Amino acid sequence: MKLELKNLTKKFDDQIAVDDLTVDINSGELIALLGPSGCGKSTILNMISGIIPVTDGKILFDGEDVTDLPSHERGIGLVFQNYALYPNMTVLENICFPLEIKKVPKAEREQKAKEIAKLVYVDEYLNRMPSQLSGGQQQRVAIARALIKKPKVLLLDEPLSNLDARLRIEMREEIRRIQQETKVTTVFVTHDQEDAMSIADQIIVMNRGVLQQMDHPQVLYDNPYNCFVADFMGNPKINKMEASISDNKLVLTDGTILKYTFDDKYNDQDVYLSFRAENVIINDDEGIPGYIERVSVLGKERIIYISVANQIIRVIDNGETKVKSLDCFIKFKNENFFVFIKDTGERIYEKKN
Amino acid sequence: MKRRIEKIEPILFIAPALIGIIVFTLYPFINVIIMAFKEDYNFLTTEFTKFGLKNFEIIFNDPYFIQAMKNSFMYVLIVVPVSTAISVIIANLLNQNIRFKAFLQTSYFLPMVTSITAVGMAWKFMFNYQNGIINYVLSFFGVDAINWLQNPNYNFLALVIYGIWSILPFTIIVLLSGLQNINPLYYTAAKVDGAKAFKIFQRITLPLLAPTIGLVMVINTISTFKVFNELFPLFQGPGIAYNLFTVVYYIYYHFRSLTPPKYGIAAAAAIILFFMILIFTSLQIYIQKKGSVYKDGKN
Repeated sequence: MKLELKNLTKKFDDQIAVDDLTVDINSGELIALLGPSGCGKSTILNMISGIIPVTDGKILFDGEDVTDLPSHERGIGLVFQNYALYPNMTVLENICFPLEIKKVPKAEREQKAKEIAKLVYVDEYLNRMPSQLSGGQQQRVAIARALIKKPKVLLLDEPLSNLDARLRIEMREEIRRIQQETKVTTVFVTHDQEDAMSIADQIIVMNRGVLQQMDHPQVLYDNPYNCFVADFMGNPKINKMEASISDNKLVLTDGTILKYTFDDKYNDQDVYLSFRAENVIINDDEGIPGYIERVSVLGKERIIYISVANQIIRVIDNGETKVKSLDCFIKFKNENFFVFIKDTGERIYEKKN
Repeated sequence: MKRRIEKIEPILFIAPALIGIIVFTLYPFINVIIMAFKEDYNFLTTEFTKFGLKNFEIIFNDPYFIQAMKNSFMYVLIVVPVSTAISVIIANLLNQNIRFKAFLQTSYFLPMVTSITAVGMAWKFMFNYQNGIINYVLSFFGVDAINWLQNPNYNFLALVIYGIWSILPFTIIVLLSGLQNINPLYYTAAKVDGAKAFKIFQRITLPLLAPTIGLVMVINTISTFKVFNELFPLFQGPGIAYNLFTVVYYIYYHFRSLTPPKYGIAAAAAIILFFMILIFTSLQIYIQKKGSVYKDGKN
């Protein structure tokens, strides 16, 4: 099912939680709503689910306006952050509950519950109480309960935040698998860019209620629209150096002038020079001068800390770099770097002649 | 030397409370048990003929004691379930997002902090045959005026109504705290699935509240078995025709009687009451444990 949000806005008193959000989500896609806490991502999810009303804008399911429909008439499946499994019911009863409300005959709903339970691998625990399950198993039951109604959209609120690191990786692969098998359009909320990158088809990056960028994970990583997206995506964090533009050239804080040229209108602007740790080549001859401060060995790769213009940058290196002295030079692989206006975060591009 | 101090110190700390408990609870309790078996016991002279079961023989042959047992049982069997049911409903209403929530919650608590005798006087006026508000309200439903306090046939009913009313606040408060322990997320989850209010109440609220209901019923059973105070403001005694003896009133009545001294009889009745409460509440807790299917209601 195709999900469209049109000019979606939510205000709490005078606080704007979501500001004029318009996105289209294609049928059968797994979408991550990503952003730091307070960015409005949960609010968006709650508006899609119908738990909170919208202030302005429209929500369309397959072209049909559901903005004013109550939750249970929208055909959504919702998985809560703390799972919200009813502690007084067995796993089977929990999964059956949405159908019980719909007055589906007992034999039929139990049949369906068993099918879904098999899909999410909890069919062995049907007679257990939720308190007898591990966090990951509870999560699976919660997903089963959300899926049993055959929802048009599956919504997951921070599905991985209550799990430990190991289970987290396992569960996110599971969410991906279940989504692929059911082909249900799925939106999940997360504050962890790694979770979003690893399983989502598209990521919606939010900050302070405003859409920053919606794209395929790789595109977000390689081609961020602004400084926020660049900073937010990727681990280790992107290197970000203070710099400015004068006489159309990029100048570092210590006065080093780089060869890159920019349009006249950017002259005398403070900017950030950002680049990924893996896009740096360290060599003895050319580029920006730096000094190797420290090397930490991680096994398959090394992180080299280099001070450049009195700022420390991190470089990931797979062991190939060989330099004669700690005084070295850095340059960018395939000229892969970004420049952002410091005040606005807006990305600017090199002037091509 | 130091060792000894370490041993004595904790005893000194608990001594003030311990002495109080021994003097005012433990000693009387044991004394009552002994007293119950002393035949023809005189409290003032501490004389008695011998140890035996004569006191128990007397009370079980006393129609007033049989009546008291019957009344106490009936009172518990009516007041506890009815007041619990009413309280569950009221607590649920108070737990909703309603206007004047704080004000209403406070006013439901009021009867608990006012003197039972003063409130009893108010009830006496309300039960009044000619001018009472209860008869006035009933008249709208075509019910003839009832002589609650003067007609022995209605005395027990008046006592029960008053009894239910007086334990409501405590019951409501306990249930309200139980309700507030239920994670509101369950309600959201059920609403997203389209559950109606009654379904939510039946499948989620009630099962999750069950342990609290059980607890409050046990407490109320114990307290209602000891019904006694309530008799005074309404009837100044065991009803207009001596038909409202309760077990505690029976005990009180016999302790008061000096000639001939009947302390032994009162003590025997107290023992019977003790076992009645013990058996009844044990049964209740047993049923509750068997019926409860889950352990953790909070998560």
